[in-house]
Amino acid sequence: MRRTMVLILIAVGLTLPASPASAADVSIDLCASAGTLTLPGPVTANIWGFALAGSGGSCAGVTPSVPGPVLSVDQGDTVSIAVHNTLTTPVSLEVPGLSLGQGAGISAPAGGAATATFTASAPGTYLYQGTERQVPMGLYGALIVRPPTAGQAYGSATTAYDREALLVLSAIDPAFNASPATADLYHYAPKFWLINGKAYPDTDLVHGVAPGTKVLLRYLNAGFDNTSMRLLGAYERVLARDAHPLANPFDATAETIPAGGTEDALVTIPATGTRFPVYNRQLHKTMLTFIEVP
Amino acid sequence: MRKALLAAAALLVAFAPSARAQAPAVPRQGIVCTNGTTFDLTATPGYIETPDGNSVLMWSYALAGGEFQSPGPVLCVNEGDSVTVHLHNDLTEPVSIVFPGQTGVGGSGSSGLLAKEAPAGGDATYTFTASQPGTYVYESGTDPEKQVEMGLYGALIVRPAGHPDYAYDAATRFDPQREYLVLLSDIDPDLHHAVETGAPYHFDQLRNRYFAINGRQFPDTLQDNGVSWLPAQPYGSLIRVKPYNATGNPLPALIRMANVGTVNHPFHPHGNHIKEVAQDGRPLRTPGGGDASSEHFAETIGSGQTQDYLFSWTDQDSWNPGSNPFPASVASPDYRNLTFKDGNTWSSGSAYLGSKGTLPVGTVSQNICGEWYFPWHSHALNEFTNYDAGFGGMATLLRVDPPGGCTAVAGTASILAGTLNSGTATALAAADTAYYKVNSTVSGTRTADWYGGFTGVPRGSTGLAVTYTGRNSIAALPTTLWIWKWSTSTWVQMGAATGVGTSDVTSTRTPPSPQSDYIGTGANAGKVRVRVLTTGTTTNFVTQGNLLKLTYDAP
Ligand SMILES: [Cu+2]
Repeated sequence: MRRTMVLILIAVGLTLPASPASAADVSIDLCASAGTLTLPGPVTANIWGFALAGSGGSCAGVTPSVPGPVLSVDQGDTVSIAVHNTLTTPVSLEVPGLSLGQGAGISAPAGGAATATFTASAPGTYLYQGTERQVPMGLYGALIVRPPTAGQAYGSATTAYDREALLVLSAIDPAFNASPATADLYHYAPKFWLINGKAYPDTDLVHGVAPGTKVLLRYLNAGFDNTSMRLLGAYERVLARDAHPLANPFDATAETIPAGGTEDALVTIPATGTRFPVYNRQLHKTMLTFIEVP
Repeated sequence: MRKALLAAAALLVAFAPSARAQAPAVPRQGIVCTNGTTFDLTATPGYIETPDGNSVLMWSYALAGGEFQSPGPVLCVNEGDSVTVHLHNDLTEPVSIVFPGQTGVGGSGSSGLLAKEAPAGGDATYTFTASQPGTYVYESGTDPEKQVEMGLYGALIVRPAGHPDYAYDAATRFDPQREYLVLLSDIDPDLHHAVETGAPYHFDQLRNRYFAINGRQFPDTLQDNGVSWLPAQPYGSLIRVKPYNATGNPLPALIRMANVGTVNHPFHPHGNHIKEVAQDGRPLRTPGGGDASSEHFAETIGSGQTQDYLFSWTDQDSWNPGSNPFPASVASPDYRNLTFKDGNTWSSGSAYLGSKGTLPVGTVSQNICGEWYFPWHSHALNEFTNYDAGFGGMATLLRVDPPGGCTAVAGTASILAGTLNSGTATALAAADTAYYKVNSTVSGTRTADWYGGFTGVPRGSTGLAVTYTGRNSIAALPTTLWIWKWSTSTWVQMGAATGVGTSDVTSTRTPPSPQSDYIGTGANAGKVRVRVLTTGTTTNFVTQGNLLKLTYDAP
């Protein structure tokens, strides 16, 4: 069977569990393109981002986003990701935690294309990303591998959830992004701290919850430093790190997600409270969103 | 600070005796709880002092009517309590408090981004039920990149109902005399100076230069709680334990660690592993409810996080000069291992816990009686400094006291009645074959009356106990032990007479309270005198002292 991939609109930031499916061949065509991102100020930053390609892998007219599109596949799928590179510099694709069978990653030359083919062998939350200077430019996104049972993050029933929300954490230094090839990394100093590419008050709220709702927060740290995220008014049960379920899940209100790491945490909405802030505890105040009832 | 706190408590008690926060009787070391269910806090500015002579503007929560203090008071409540925190704002911008780990926080105030706010000059109130025990923080939820950096934070402790000696449950029982808060914070003095002078505040230029435990930087961290020269920083963080002993000292210390700083701190406790039992106020358990604690010799504590540790120090080697001598083939512990600055050392210079060795000339010893010290510090070495000068910053010491407390033996002997027969005070150092012998008087009721002198007993020592072992040349004579009371220049008898005959008899006595009367001050600082009086016969005799020993708990 051949399916197209399931796309989750990150603007929504929250989805219902996807339905399970048997292993399939999944083909995804991504474009790596230059664009801009409007940040509070407003400041317009240059970015490189991934975008879904048009038919036939065409990148004509596509708009790259930061982070890139959310890719969702089923455990066991054979996944082919083709990168069509419209940039004037090579672009890599890596998926830390999954074996691409082609070395650490693939590289699409400037103006060219390359395809990574791999088996989505284990469920979990993964980053797909470029390398080195491509990352602070915005070439990253989330890849979710779903287990056979719908509505679970992993194989265990204790990872069942009602809602899920992606929190791709990153930071942008517009000065670096203005001249990525030559910027001195010694002076790399981000000015904008983002969730899913947005700074508060533009961040996506997590809606649609009620007391007892189990919300799966999928944290992905695409930024450059270890990031501590605070949750107020509720606890999150940390289920997995780097797509590996923990033997002893634990409850937390301040969790550090290492740069390049991912973490899955389950928030059971308490009986009291209607607004639960999730924010950067290292005091970068625009990295903030809320889980809200309803 | 201690006086100010007590004054504040008196005021609060007068105002509403039943439930208002009670300022504590402040222990010299260990956690200082402000107990209650209703707390009145004021957000206010003040200055802290750093060891390098700087003073830095901070904002903090103070007990209403009390002095400015950094960090805010340690709020201690019991599981199940309905807690009310009133916040009055003496700052010039809105301020608030968030309580991570508490659910259903209600209250009143003007609406803010993360919590109800107290406007400048105004008030807010927060209420919640402390539903689960644990170690938590409280901090500003208003403009955190400025207000938390400026110091608006503190610790909240919820004790299990009916079990103040548990952190969470029976598996986390600890010695209540050994409960410690280790609250980590970091400060960029340039940002604080910007606030002080009204200059632009650029958090993205953050560069921390001061790193604190409980609001103080090393070596101020070692000073007692409430010392007068750190009026705005009332909390010390010297960690004190005695060696683990299954019968005599079975319970661990509890270390309540919290990071209210802006960055994650890699904390490095030397000495023995520490056992992490909880994070963010929740015990670490297996899915089946079993123990999922873990042992660490280094652990990163994330910004905003709390972690609880149980800590027992086990003497792995148990070197003993008699039964288990330190191997002659191995170099003894070197004083340089613990020289921090300016020739100061905490090292005893000895491989034997409770003994002092010889230190090199020029070394200034901070060691009291052979206790051992281990650094507990941030392993980010830039944080082990005060404005880049090491050592300083986010560091304190673990102090392992000898199991029986400090021990001193008489260093001098003086005769009040009778004459010297033979020997010197050196004979009093151990129960062995050497004796210090005093001839009785030779007329009337014969008396041998002498005293031994001890030195180096620190002011504030407690638990004084005297052990005397001796015999007489003739059959049982009533022997009494006395201690010199410096305040009245009189001898005070300790207990009843013991009959001492021709074989060694050991007597142990403790002086009546207050024990501070028996430790000399001024020119006699650190001196203790113990008198041995033997009398009651008309036959000449010789009193023969074998051991005269003083044990005490150093402050
Ligand atoms: Cu160390």
